[in-house]
Amino acid sequence: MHPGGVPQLMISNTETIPGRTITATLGLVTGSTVRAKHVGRDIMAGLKNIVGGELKGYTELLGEARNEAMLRMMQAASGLGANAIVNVRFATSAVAGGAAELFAYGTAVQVQ
Amino acid sequence: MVDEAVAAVLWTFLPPLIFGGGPLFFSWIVGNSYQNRKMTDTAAREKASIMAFGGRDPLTSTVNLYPSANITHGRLLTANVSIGPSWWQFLLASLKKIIGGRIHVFDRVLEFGRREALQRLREIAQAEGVDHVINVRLDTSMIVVNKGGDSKSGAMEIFAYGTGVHVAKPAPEA
Repeated sequence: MHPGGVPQLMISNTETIPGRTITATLGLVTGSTVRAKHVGRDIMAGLKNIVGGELKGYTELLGEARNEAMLRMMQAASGLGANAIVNVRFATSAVAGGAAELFAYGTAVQVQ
Repeated sequence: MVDEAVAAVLWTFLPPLIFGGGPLFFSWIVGNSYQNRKMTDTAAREKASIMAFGGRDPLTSTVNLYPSANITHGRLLTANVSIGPSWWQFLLASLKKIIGGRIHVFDRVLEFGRREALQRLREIAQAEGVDHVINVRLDTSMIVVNKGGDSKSGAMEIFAYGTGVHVAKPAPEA
C-alpha cells in the first residue's frame, strides 16, 4: 500500500461538488504515472488481435495505472489540506514505444 | 492405405493453410462471429441497464439536469475498455486505404468500444446506486500504434468518466 493510504476526498468532474459550497480554492493538483506493458501481456494482446475486440490485459493495466495517477493527485490535494477535488480531467499519451503516461489533474478545494 | 491418403491430403493442404492464409481465414470466420456476439451482448446489457433506471438513460453530457433537480451529493465514476481490430479488419482497411474513403470495418470496432465503455459506466452507476451520471466525457487514445504495412497489432483505449449524483425526491406538494 502507498504511504499515507488513500485520502478520503470528494472528487467530481464538474465545477462544484454537487450539493456543497466551495469555501476555498487551493490550486491545481496533478498526478501522473508512466506504465510499460510487459512482454507477456504484449504477446497475449497480439494474439487477441487475431480475432479483435476487447484486449483485456490492456484494459486492466490502464485501469490500474489511472487509479494510481488519481491516488497521487488525491495525495497532493490532501497535502494542501483540501477535502475535495473538482473539475478533474484525464489525459493519456504514449511517451515511448510501449509505454503510456496516464495523467489526472484537477482543482483542490475546501467544501462545506 | 486410407491413412496414407489422409496424410497426403493433410500434407498438401495444411502447410499452406497454416503458413499462408490460415490465420487470416481464422481471423475472418472466428473474429467476425466473436465481435458480433460481443456487440449483441453489449446491446442486451444496455437495454437491461436502461430498464433498471426506469426506462431512461442515466448518462448525460450536461452538468445541470433540469432546474428543479435537487442534487444532494456526487462522486467521480470511471470506466475503460481497450479494443483492437482483428487481422482480417486490418487487411480490409489496408486494401481500402489504396482508394481512400470510409473504412467501415474500423467504424464497427470503435462503435463497439464506445458503447461498451458507456455501458460499463452505466453498470458502475447501477452498482454505486446513483440516480444520474452528469458531465459524461469520452477520451480515446492510441495504446499500440499500428505501423502499417505487415503490422497486425494495434490497440486503442476508450475511457468514459462522469460524476454520479443522487437526486433528492421532491417533497410532495400540498
